Amino acid sequence: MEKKDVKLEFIDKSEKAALYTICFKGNDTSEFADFMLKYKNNADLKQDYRYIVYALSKILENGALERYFRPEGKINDNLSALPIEHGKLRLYCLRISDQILILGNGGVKRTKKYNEDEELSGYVISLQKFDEILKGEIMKGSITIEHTSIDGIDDKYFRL
Amino acid sequence: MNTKELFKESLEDVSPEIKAELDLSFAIADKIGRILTERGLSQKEFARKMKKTEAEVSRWLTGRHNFTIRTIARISVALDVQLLEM
Repeated sequence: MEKKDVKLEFIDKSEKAALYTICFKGNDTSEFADFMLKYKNNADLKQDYRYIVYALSKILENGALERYFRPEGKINDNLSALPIEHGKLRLYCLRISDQILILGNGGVKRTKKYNEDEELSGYVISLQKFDEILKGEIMKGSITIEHTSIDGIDDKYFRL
Repeated sequence: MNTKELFKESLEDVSPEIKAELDLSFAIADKIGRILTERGLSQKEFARKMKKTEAEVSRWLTGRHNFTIRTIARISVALDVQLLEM
């Protein structure tokens, strides 16, 4: 996979949780914005999309509790999915803690496993790589997380 | 339009019906979750008590499960609580 630079972008926060997303250098939109633009007016999927969006507002209200998410990826990574029960649309994210959720991109799951789908596996791999980088930066002390705030990320790009 | 503005705009498009549905499903899931935590019951133990799989109990607690009346009644009895105020 071609090396890409990515930054973390703040979206919104409440007392209980904060939402962030990732944005690739050179792209006009963040990964979550891309997901929203793809599905907000999609005739077949906009209802499913609205369930996911409102679920995110509930997560902001209550905290990014582990049980709200479906674990994906490997045992030690923070990769999670936000699916809806009655549909195939899902949003991939990194659940860092009950207070911090980093939203990626998502799409329709048409295969049994995400890594059988080129589009979805691309979104997942980007988040997994960013998860590794974030852990490394936190260990080095260049990024700190305090409750709902991630500090040390302003205007900083990370090489995936 | 930036990500936050798009998110806010998308929230405005959510129908009152979807909001009401998810408000309820999250409220029920959160009440069950709180009770399990207070009583030190794991999801595995709760599943065993309900004679359900862990996967099914896990779905109940996501906040997005469409509970049947029957399931709500059975959980209420198993936990000896009113999941829905009447």
